[in-house]
Amino acid sequence: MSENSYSEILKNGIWKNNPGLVQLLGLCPLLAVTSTAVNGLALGTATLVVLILSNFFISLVRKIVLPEIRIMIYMLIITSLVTCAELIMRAWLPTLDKALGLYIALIATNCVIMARAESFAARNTPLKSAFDGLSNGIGVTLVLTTVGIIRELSGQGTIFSGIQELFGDGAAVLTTKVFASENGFLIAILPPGAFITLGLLVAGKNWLDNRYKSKRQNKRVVEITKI
Amino acid sequence: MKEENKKTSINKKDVIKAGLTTASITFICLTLIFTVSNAANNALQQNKIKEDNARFNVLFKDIQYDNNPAEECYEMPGNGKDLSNVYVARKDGKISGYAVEYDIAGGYSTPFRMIAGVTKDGFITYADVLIMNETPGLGDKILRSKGNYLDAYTGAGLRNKTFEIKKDGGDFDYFTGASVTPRAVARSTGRMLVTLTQENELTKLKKCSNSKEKTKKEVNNKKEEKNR
Repeated sequence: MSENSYSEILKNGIWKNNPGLVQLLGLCPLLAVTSTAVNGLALGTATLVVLILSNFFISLVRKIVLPEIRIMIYMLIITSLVTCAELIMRAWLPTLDKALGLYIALIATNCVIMARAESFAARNTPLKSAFDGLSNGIGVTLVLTTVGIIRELSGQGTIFSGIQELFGDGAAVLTTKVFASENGFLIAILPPGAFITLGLLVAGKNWLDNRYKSKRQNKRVVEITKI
Repeated sequence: MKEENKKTSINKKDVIKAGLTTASITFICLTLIFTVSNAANNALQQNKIKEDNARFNVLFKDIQYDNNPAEECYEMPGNGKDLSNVYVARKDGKISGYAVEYDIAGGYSTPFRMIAGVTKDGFITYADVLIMNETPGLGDKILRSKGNYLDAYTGAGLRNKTFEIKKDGGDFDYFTGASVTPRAVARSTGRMLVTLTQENELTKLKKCSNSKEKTKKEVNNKKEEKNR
C-alpha cells in the first residue's frame, strides 16, 4: 500500500491519472457545461465536494457492506449526496443553479465518482479516501475550468464572465474582456468546440508526458555513457 | 445442503445482513435528505417572494400599484400555441398596468418567452426574456445579461413605434449577421400589444389555469427542459 501515500494520491488525481484527461470519465457534463469558465468551475467544485463526501462515506461502510450489494449501496450514498448538493444549490445559489440546471443532478451518474468509489474508497481508509476524492476533484475542476477558459476565450473573447454569480459582486473585476464578442469563434461555444478543445488538451498532456519521458531517457543515456 | 449453499453462495445470514445494512444506510441517507430539503425549502420560499416582488417592481417601473399582480392573472391568445398570461396591476381598484408573459414566434428555437410591463395606455415600461434558446453568441445578445438591447422597448407603444427591425422599415435595431431573433422579438411584441388593446375587457377572459403557482412551475419546468 506504499504507493498510496498522500503525495502519490495527489499526483495521480491531478496529473498522472487525471479523470478527465486520462481516464476520460464523466465526459457528458464536461462537454456540456463548459461553454464558460465559470460554469466549468462551478460544476467542478460541486463534483469535488460530492466526491470527497462520497469517498469518505463509502470507505466508512466498506467493511460492513457485502460485495454482492456494494454497487447498490454506493449508488444510494452518491445519489443522496447529490440530491443534497442540488437542494443546497437551488436554495442558496439560484443563479448558478439556473446556469447548470440538470447537470447538478447528473453528477450522480458521473462515472468519476463511481470509479473512485469502486477502485479506491472500497479499499482504503476513510481519510485517505477523502483525500483521494479531493485530488480527483481538483483534477476534474482543473480540466473543466481549462476547457471553459479556452472555449469562452475563443468563442466570446472573455474570461470568467459572470464570476460574480459564484463569488459575489466583488469578484466581477476578475472578468477580463480580451476582444469584442462579435469576432468570436462561434464553433468554440457550440458542442463541437467542446470535443475539439478536450481533444487538444488530451493531446497536449500526452505531448508533455512524452517529452518528459524522452528527456529522462536521454539523461539516463548520458549518465550511462559517462560511466 | 451445505455444498449447495456454497455453490450458489446464498447464505441466510448474508441475506439478512445485506437487507439490514441496506435498510439502515437507506434510513441514514433519507434522514440526511429530509433535513437538507427542509432547510432548503424555507430558503427557497423566501427567495421566491423576493424574486416575485423584485420582478414586478422592475416591470412596473413607472406604474403605481397596490395589489399583488401575481394573484390576478388572465389568459390571452398568444403568438404561438401557448397562451399569453396577463398579470394585472391595480391602484385603488382601477387597472394601472399589465405584465404580459408572451411567446416569441419566428425565432430559431422554442421555447422562447418574454415578459413585458405595459401601462394601461399600451406603452411598454420594461421587457425581459424569460426563457430562450437562441444560438449562443448570435441571438442571445438580446439578453439583459449581455447588453441593454431590450432598453429600446422601454417607452415603445403601437402609437409611437413600428414593431419591425430597421431592415424591414421599422424602428428597432438588429445585430449584424443575426437579424432573425430581433425580428422575431419586434414582431411578436407588436402583435402582443395589438392583442392586448383588442382584449379591452380583460376580466371577461379566462383566469389563468391555476394561478401563480402553476405558471411559476411551468416556467421552471421549461427552463429545465431548455437546459437539457
